[in-house]
Amino acid sequence: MKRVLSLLVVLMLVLSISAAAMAETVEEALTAAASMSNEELYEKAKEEMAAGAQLNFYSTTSFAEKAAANFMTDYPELADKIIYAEIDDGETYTILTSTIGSGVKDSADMALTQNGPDLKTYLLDEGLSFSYFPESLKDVVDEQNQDPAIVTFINSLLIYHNGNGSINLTNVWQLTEPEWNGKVFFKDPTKETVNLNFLMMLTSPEWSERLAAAYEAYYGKAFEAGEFKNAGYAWIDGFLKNVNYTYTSASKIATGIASGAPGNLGLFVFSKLRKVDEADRGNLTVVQFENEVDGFSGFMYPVYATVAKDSDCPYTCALFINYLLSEGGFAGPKSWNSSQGYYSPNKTILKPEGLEDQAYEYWSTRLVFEDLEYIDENYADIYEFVAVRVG
Amino acid sequence: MTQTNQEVVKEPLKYRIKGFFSKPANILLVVFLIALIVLSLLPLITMLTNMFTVHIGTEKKIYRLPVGSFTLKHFERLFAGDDWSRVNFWTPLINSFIVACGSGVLGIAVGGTVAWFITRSDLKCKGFISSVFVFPYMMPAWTLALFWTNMFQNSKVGGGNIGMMESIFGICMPEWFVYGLFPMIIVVGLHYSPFAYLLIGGILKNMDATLEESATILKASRWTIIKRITVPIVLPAILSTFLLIFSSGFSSYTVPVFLGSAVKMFTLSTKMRALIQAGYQGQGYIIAFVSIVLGCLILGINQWFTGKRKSFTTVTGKSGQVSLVKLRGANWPISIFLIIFTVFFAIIPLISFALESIIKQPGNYSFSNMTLDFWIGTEGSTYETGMISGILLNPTMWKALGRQVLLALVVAMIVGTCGMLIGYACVQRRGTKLSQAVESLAFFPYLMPAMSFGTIYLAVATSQSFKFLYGTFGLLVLVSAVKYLPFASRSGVNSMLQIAPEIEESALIFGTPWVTRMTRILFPIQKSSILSGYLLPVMSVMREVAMYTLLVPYARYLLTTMLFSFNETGYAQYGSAVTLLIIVVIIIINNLTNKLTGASFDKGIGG
Amino acid sequence: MPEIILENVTKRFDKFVAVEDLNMKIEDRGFVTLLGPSGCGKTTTLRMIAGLETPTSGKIMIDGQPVYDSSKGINLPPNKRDIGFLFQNYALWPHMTVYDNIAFGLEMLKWDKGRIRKRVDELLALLKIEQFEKRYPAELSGGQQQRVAIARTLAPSPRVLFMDEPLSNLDAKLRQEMRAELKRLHSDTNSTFVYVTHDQLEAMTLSTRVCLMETGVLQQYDPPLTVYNQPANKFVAGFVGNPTMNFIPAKLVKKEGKQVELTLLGKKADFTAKEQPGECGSDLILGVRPEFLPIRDGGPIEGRIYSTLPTGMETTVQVTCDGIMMTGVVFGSVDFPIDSKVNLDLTGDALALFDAETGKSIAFGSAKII
Repeated sequence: MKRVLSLLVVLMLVLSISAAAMAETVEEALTAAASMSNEELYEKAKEEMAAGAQLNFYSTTSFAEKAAANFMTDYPELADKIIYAEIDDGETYTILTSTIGSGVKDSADMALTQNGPDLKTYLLDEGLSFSYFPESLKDVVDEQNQDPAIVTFINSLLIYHNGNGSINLTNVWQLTEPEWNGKVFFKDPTKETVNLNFLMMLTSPEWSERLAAAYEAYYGKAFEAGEFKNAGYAWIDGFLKNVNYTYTSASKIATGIASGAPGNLGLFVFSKLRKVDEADRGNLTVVQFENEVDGFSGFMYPVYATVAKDSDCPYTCALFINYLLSEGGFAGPKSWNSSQGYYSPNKTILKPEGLEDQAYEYWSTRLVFEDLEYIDENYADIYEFVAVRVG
Repeated sequence: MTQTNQEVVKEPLKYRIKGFFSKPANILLVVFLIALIVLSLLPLITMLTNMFTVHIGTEKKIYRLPVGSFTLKHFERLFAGDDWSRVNFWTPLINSFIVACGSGVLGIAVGGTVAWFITRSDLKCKGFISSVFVFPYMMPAWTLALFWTNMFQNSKVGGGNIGMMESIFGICMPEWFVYGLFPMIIVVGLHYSPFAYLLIGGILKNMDATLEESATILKASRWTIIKRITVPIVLPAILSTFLLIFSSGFSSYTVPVFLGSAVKMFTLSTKMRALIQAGYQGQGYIIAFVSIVLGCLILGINQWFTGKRKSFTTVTGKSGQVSLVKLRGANWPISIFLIIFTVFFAIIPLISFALESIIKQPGNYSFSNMTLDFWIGTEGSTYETGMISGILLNPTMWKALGRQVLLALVVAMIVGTCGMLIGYACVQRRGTKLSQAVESLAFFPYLMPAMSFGTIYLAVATSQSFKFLYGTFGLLVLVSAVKYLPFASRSGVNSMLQIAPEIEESALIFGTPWVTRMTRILFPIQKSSILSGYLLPVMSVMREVAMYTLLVPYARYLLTTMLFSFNETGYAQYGSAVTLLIIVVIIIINNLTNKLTGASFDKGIGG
Repeated sequence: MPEIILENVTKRFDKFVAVEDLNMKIEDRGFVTLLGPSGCGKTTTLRMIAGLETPTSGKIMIDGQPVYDSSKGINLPPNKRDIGFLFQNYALWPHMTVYDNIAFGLEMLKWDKGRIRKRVDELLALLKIEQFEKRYPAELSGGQQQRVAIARTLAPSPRVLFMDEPLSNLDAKLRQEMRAELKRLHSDTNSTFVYVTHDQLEAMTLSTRVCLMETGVLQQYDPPLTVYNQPANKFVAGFVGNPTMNFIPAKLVKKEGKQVELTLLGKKADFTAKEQPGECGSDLILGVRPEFLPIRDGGPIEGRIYSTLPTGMETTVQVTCDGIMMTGVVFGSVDFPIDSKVNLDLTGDALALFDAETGKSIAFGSAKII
């Protein structure tokens, strides 16, 4: 009798495992989707929608809403199935980690999020979401931008109020000088994670060396570490001493500097210049458009697309990601490409003529990019270093 | 004594239980006790465990421990005594404490003074002052902070942006005046001063005037009477008001962000959020816990004061015969000062919000710079600003407003009813341990910072057994109901205390069932006071944001979360327009209720 | 010395007239009660004299000094009027001990500690509340609170003492006791007492003069016995005295000198007035106090017992005669069976004759039914 029972149990176990194996997991679906054409994906997507799914996607950038609208125009049978939900950057991962896999209604199928290190720690490493990248675009997107897929880059640049003429900023070490005390505007890095990531990257071997070189170029003597681990830490220390946190958002920094005291400088999201009233726009000068800056002229952060592990429409997500990476998704009417400060990793998509901006290639050598691995390994040390200096 | 009792009772347990539950008040108390333990103690336990466990992300990485395992490292790190402790705990603790105390004192001083003038003197323009004075309480606190910076920022501080004061009068206020602890105290204090006004004013109105008159006859001067009679008698009310403002000030997040950042002045709540965001959840929860402990401490002091032999029950005397203090020559100066004061903090912000919502470029008030696009613009004209259209033509905004109003009304119904029932049950069984437990448990959620309340309920709603709640309207209802129960139960207890037990007993003798007694006798008698208890949560919901940010499915789900994201991301014009809209909606609801039922929210607190 | 004079004092609350054109003089060391049903303006009058309420017009003088004069714009605050005030609900300060409550007024006079101690002890002893010195008001019974309130009021030895229904919150036995003590206190303290009450018995037993008011208008201001025996009108007659006066409708037949011929209860009656009766119409009312309506076999008025209410010392008997309910008092405890037939008589020389239309009294005297 006992044997029969245990046999039954084993049988049931085997059955259930094979049943699970038969249903495709999201990860498998994404692998399959990567090699499919858009037409094939569209068919799959229609099947998913017919099965009662809808694509809930969470995003921290509002342009994504426009992209979704364009997507639904281009794929009319998915109309009304792509539901956009904007989430506050600060809450992104709290909300996503709590909701993905919990089975709650309308949780995210897909997320467009910034701040790669947190994406890695909270979602990818925990297996809550997966990255996806189509085979068809592997040639036009640099490899480091494929896993996880980056749908757009956003840059923060050194921009100043030109009311007193040029500030002649040619070397980033100038910003650590006492004369800049209280005149540099930067969003609090303990509240804005992409700013924190940027500072963290400066301590990496690559950037600390570049900063050491810039130091030598500026002061005419070799950098000596002293109390700091490297030039990156030294620069952060000097820079944060000068930072003024009056404005609590990038938009406010943009409009605030434009209408504020001449000579003030900010390191903020370039695209926010669109928030500045036209009458004031002329007050602002992007340092990089005046001259090259020794060190860097700002930093670049990506917006990543990942698919939730419990999505009921992975093929639709794949199709949508393909779309975002293509001309239609990125450069469609009133979308990212129409504004300064957004760059597709797809190198075939250039910024439109007449927009005072440059393509991704141009910025890639002049800006600091985030490196998920480096930040992941050194997070706590640098965070404490930065947090203590914010005050 | 207990022994003899037992001797006498000797009934079988079954009958005793049956006897116990034959009283509706007992059933209510038991039901509420269980509900409150689940709803307000559970979050606290969640919080406590969070202080000792390793979380996913940063903590897991740096401590190299599995998620969920027990640890004391959060305490060790936060209290290590180095720069980290100073920056993340001690300095912000001191700042928060100063803001909380300062705004408590200011709120009571301003609110109490106005309450005294309105209820006890022959001040001019009382109607105007008393109705306008409560406006700041209807606005979300941070909008007042924004108003402050818009007013006083100048070319010498912050980013050198010119505010109204400088552009109109050419006056530049010093930095300490514009940013930092001083304006935080002013803004939080003034935001809550209407609350102090309503609470203390209610007591003053009900306080037997002969207590003061008898001192007058014994030749005490006006000032001596206030100092030695009035203030000591309303002291418990003052203390509990102080507690409420203190707790709110201590956990206020938005005001310190807008007023402190410029001078690197951070408070515990801003640090709590930064720590949680940076992955140091354990330390963040410790900070949340500290604010609860402080709240309990003050609550304890409060109870110690009121629990003393002196009974502070305010006997209602012939209050119809209150003789008002004649201000004589000082009347007009004081009236004019108060009018200017209330206009400055209640009307000017409204005007400034109205102005800010129609100017294209901040700071430029010329006619050519004005536009109604932010209100009624269509897609094309407002593209640059990121919204699809002006708020009045925007379906998202209307939906958000609709949800907020619905939420407010639903919460009010629940909270008001529960408050009344708690009031009824607690008054009926006053003095029993059960009733004391329910009364203090109902007050407990107040001490929890709204933000950590949101965080905890997010964790609850995403847990396996409650996941059906997540992202739903029901979750918002539940959380708001628990959070705002303290006011409602307090006002419920107050209004029920005013009904003599004989009134219910006489109905009981006719065999009237309990529900009928409640609906046909008790409710109608205290209709105005009870309805006012319903109105308070309406207002609280209409302007709450910190608690909702984590719980709404998306930022534009509710009007206030939408507003906060506008203000944070710099859509100043939309922000101002929405603020104005919120205040108008609150005023409409209040006036409508007042017209229909004679209740108004300012009658709710005093009881 | 402190004599209080009210001249044409009027008080209006919006349109409602609380007190109308009141003229009154309260003599030094008098014990005056303001008596009337609730809402008659007696408390308002008291509060106006004390300065807690401002009259609409008129003049009030205390001790020859105008404390209020609408024509001259004088209005002294209560603390300048040198008075004491005892409130109905005692108004003890809940956050102060008995000692502190009593000492408060003396502190305000800047007395030194030792002197305050002595005076408070004196009062504690006078009012027999020594053992409660350190208690808070909430820990005292009503009667004890009352004594504390009196002690507090008396502490600064005010020359005029106002009391607003001070006994109404006490139970009957305690009230009786306190009444006696108040009267004693009046003679001990040598002050003028002004006392508000709606209890006519209190007014009768305590005061030297009663000021009876109705709807803001003074009805009569006389010593208690005068008010009792020679009420100015039907209202006063009905308000004072317990059980109340019987009012028997009567018709004037003939008036000649002090003799008035009447018909009442279907019978003829002769009324002999003490003084020349005043002008009147033909409809009159004969007022007979119960003690002048004895039950006596062979009495001229026939009636039927409605009910009897023996109290022990006396018995109140209600009798219906010709459809009119009348109350008589019989000394001792007598129990009449209900509905039994009795005969009543009219005795005494303090019967009153009122004009039915105006309610004014026109004559006092004796009557005889023929």
